[in-house]
Amino acid sequence: MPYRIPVGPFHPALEEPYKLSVSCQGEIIQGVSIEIGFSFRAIELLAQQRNYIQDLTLVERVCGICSGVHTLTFCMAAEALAGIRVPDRGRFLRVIVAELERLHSHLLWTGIAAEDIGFQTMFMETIALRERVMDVLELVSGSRVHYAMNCIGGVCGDIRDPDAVLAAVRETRRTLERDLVPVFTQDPTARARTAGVGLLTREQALAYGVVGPTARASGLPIDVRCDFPYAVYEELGFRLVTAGEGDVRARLIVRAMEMLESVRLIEEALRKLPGGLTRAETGIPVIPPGEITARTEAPRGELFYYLASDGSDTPTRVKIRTPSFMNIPSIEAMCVGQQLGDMSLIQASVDPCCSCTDR
Amino acid sequence: MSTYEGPTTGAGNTPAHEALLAELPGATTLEPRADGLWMVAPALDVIAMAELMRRLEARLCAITGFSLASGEAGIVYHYSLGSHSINLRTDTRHRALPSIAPLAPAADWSEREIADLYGVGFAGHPDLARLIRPPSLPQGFFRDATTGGHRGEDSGR
Repeated sequence: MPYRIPVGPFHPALEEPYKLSVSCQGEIIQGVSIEIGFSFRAIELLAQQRNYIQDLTLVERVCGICSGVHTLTFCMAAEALAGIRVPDRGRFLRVIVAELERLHSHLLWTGIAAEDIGFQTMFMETIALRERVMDVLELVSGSRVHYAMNCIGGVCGDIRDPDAVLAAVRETRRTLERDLVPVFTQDPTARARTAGVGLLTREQALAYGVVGPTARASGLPIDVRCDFPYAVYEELGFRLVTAGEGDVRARLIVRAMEMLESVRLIEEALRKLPGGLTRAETGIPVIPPGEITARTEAPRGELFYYLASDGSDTPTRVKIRTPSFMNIPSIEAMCVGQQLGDMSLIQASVDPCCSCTDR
Repeated sequence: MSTYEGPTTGAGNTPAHEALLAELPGATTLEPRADGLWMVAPALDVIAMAELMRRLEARLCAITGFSLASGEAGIVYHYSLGSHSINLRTDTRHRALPSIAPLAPAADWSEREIADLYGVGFAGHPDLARLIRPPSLPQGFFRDATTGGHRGEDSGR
């Protein structure tokens, strides 16, 4: 006799509120229905009632984990409409902050994944390493989250001591290479709990339109840093990471490899950091009439903005399509035929961000 | 760099996907802009569009909805094909459009969100239930909300 278990909206396994209604036959999941909207704040509507400067502060608060990439994408859209070119130093600084953000986000996810499989020691180690990344973000921007680094035309802050940032990043790389990546990719417990779990085939990934590590772990070689390069990713020689198995282990390996690539990108950007201005202009930018799209690779995947302007200081339309909005529905496909005890890990493996999804 | 390879070039120098898009019922001219290809086609056959994009293995990135002065909604289907960005804009007819969700599961939640916020009906959608809108707010409240610049000396917020 099948039965339904509600998981959420408030549940110890969930970082943020959303609801999974799991239908089970014994211990085997037959289906999942997903409800969202518990963190809906109508941010798009609020953005259409505020000017571009106010909107920078607003869109940063769509999410607390991937806050910088929201302001980055919004700025890129406004800059493209206005024909503003960001100076080279500003473009390098944008990549440094974006990759630091990816690092801390992936480390947070890894820690939670460890907790989900009962690997408490690695949860502690991973979150301790993440604290060191947060320290670097605070050193660069003054804040652990909501960095307020991006502005239309460039960045608001600067790295006055690149050597200090480089030293901290190198220490992070050593810990990743020596401890975290080997444990998560080779440990028998981690492998047993993640291999063959939560499968998403390549065809399913394409049908659901999933993005980011979730897509790349199912063999889809899509990454905005490759397909629609922005800032200085082309100059730094970005390397795409994919895996083909489509299970939780593949998603874990993709994120582990991406953390190493992020560290490499930050080190390379710091080494090549040019002098000069960090922003194109210091006045209030004028955004002419028109419509434009902009996209970046957030930690969870492609972040997509549509911006429409009538030439006034207030945008007429700010459409925000976050990566989790595309990835969360694929949980329905991943759960079918899986063990109920793996439910927590499977839903965590897409790295769902409900703040982003609901806006 | 990405290992994905898009469709091979069609006749002359026109990429194959551009030639196929131009043949869609209701299609108009494809216009290259800074952020990719755009087509503004008020009478576009969105089912034919979705079938073509599925054949091409294009990725549906997002669906944007916005208010028009006429009371209809503008709907833009944003696709990517390898490194090509393709944006297909059409308008609702009597505040409705056929749903492409049966052909493209990626469109499911995007259509539900536009139904919530702009009151657009997507005929043939498997389940157009409320998605992100709180139950206390009416369907289409983005369309009906007061827009315009926030002016004044102090936001007070």
